[in-house]
Amino acid sequence: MAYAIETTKLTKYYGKARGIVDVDIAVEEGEIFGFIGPNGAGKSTTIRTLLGLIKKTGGSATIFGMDCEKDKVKILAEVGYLPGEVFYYDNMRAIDLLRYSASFYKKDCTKRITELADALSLDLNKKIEDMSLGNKKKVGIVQGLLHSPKLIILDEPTSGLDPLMQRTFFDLIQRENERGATVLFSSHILGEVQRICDRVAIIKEGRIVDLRSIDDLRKNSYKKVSFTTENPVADFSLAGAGEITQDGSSTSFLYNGEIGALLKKLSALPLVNADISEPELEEIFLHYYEDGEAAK
Amino acid sequence: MNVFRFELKRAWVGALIWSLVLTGLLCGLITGALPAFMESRVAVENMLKSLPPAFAAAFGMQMDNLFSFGGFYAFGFLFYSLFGAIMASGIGLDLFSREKREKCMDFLLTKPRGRSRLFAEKLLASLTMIAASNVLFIAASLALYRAYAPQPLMLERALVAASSLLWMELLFFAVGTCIAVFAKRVRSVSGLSTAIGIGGFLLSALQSMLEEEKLNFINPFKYFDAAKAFFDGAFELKYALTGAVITIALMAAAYVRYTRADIPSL
Repeated sequence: MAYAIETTKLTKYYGKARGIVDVDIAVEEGEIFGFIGPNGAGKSTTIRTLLGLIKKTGGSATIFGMDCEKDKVKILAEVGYLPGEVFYYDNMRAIDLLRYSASFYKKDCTKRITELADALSLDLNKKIEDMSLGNKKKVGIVQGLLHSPKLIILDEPTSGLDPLMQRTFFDLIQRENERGATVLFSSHILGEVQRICDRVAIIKEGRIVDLRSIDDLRKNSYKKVSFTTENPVADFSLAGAGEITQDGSSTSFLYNGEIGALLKKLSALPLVNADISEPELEEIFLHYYEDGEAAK
Repeated sequence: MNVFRFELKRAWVGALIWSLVLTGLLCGLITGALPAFMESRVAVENMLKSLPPAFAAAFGMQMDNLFSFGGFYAFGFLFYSLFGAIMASGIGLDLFSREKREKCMDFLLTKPRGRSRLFAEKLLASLTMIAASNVLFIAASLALYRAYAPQPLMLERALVAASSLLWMELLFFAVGTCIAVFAKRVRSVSGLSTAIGIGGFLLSALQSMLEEEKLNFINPFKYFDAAKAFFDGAFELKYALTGAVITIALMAAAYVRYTRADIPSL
């Protein structure tokens, strides 16, 4: 079976500036594939190369076995794309924009437009420029899904959506996925990727630094722990804790290990306050790099 | 052909207004100004003599031909050209920078439509508007010619002369298209197209004032000279060729750029 998306040593330089270098990803049909990395890491560059918006410098990229540059038109008929920021033509109602969008596909999308608009509670007769950021985004979502694409590409799609709407959005994406659509989903927020993705690729400075399943990521998940005690704790140590920093009576560290052991250790301390949270992506990356260094 | 229809729908009102202004000006000058002008020939000649020669030249007022239908008709071309240049460069700028201006390149270019096809549909929509505008202008020119020019009529010459606006507009359309495609961003289509039109007007005025033959090569209003066509039956080949080559080269450059450029993310 051909992969939904397959890139081999995909490389893009903007003149001398690095875009992406030797990116290898293989997204299976029917999976929700996450693509995470900090801003400027090359997520958008990869996606835009796949969509034929920019020309690659080297390597290859295929979607459903077809070449992203040569067979672009055929590929795009099967792809729905939602960019991070949505802008549309001035002075157009949502329904006019969506009809124009639908006119590019050789199928009747009218029913699907109303279905999607209902699901998102979007007023189609309103002018797009008069809409709030969130509603504009909804127009973008409908626009990306109205032709029931086989591959959905989302580039940081949740910015501008409130938490309730994010949930509706993820439900929608998951339904599309159950219908059989493959999803490529880029984000810099680890939590939302963990929420719906099967596998993730982690990109940093233009290169894929890790590719693993979400289950795997959870098993190896780091927690950010910080606590304050009545009096400074001297020489705090715990197996699995790294990057311990102590500042007076406050201590913080990254923890990778059994939660039980962590809680046991903490409960023995004269705690004033304690916080266990998901680390920022940057902090995780730091670990990937350190792990990489250690392995050498 | 959905892009063609979409572009036409968004741009036709502007093109229609320009066409009416152009043809209205033509009709006004010929039916209103020409008879009055001919009647008071002596007074006009004295007035022109009192003007600084460079000023009169800049506005295309040469004594030799002015007091004939052809001369007066061709004199009007300075203004038809100015308006036509603004309209045509505006169409190029508008259609080919639409997605850039409204930040929706991603929307259009991720649709299953090749960039060559998009370019072709936009081009066809532009040419449709320019052609329609010129059909109106040429029809009005010929009708006025039949009504106001002395016998014997030479309709062919009048037709070639009237077509000079079309060729000149195609050149300015190519200029507008090229700027639209190469510019990083286009802020105001009307501002920019007015500047382009006035630029053409100034080049033309410069040539008329200096009367330097060679300057005709950089005078876009003279590549397809209506006076030359009217009195000699054809454009001057070297200038017409220059205009044609520039038009084609600009369009080719715009096509290559439009179909190949990387689209940066917002």
